[in-house]
Amino acid sequence: MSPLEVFLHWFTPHHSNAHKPKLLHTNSLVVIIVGLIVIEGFLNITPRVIPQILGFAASIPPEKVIELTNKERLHHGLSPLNNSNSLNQAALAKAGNMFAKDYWAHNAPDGTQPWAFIKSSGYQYIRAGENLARDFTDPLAVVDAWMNSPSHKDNLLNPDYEDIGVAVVDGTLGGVQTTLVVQMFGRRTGARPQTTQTASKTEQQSIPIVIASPSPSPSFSPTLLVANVQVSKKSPEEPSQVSGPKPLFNSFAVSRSLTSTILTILIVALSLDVILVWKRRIIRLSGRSWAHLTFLLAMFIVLLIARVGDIL
Amino acid sequence: MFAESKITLIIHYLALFIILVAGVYGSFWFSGQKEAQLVIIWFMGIGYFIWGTIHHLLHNDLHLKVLLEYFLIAAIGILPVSALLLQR
Repeated sequence: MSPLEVFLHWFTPHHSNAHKPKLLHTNSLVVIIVGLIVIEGFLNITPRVIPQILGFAASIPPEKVIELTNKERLHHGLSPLNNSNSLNQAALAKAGNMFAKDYWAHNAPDGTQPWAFIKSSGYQYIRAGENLARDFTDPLAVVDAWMNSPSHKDNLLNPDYEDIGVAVVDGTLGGVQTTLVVQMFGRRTGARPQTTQTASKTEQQSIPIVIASPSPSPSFSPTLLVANVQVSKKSPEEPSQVSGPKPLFNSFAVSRSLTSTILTILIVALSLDVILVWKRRIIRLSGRSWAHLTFLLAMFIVLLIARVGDIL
Repeated sequence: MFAESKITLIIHYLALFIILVAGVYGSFWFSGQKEAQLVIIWFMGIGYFIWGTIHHLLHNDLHLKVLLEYFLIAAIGILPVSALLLQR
């Protein structure tokens, strides 16, 4: 078979394939599914076994998270937040605690609240908030995700906050290598109240107010933990970034590329089939190729929407 | 007769369109919430399989081979996207 004949056999209705692309035959579809299960299984298991080869690779400079946060605030007519060393330390302590106790929540399994880390850093506040993110690959995606969530957006755009601290820490959570982003907001005691924003937000408080409602801690019991991490020494005003060894390949990106490729190949075969069946007026007992095409195109869009990362 | 079959066809197309558009819109709406997205993806896949079954039943050309084809295409859509979301 010449390459052209091979292509016609696999991608177009042809006399060699009973007038249906070989790729769309039942046995071919079964092989594709089995292949997908094996490969996706490999991609899910490998990061846990050899994280240095295939795992999660992120590049999120904390300064950039602060810069993007302030950009959003300026865009909404709010004053930018000051980079607070105390809040940076509080965020770093919170991230370290999440890895050490293996939890993904605002409250630690032992009941420790985010505010405990802020108080420990020496930051005396009348108002404080916390945003969390994990598994994102770039700072813009993190801030975008927070801005798309009403409760996190409220934190980001709260006119009562004056200070911000951010920590980005690599480690192992639930047995999977990940990158945590902890963002802490605060307003010091004795700070001048804001008067230019919404009335309900201008009231002076004598007690801390929780803006990002802490979720109940998960029921799983902490097992192992942390993080082969090394803290880099920085100047006091720099937000904290703690990096571990990066894997060679990002498993999410590999999985997305693979799935996109397979869906694209099937979409090409289905498109050719729809056109040629209609043009040649082929009658056969089969599913509707145009319906398959529409369904896979919809799933392709979902695949593009699906992004790495979770927020809390 | 022609008008009736045309209306039926439009209803069929519309039903599929609604299932898929609702799924895509839902995935966008729940962006970043993997549990919700997983439910939506499975809703799309199962909805597509049911749509295919009803469509061919009404066209009197429902066969096991056709059912299997819809099942496999639905699985090809659901499995890799679910696996991708579960990687997080």
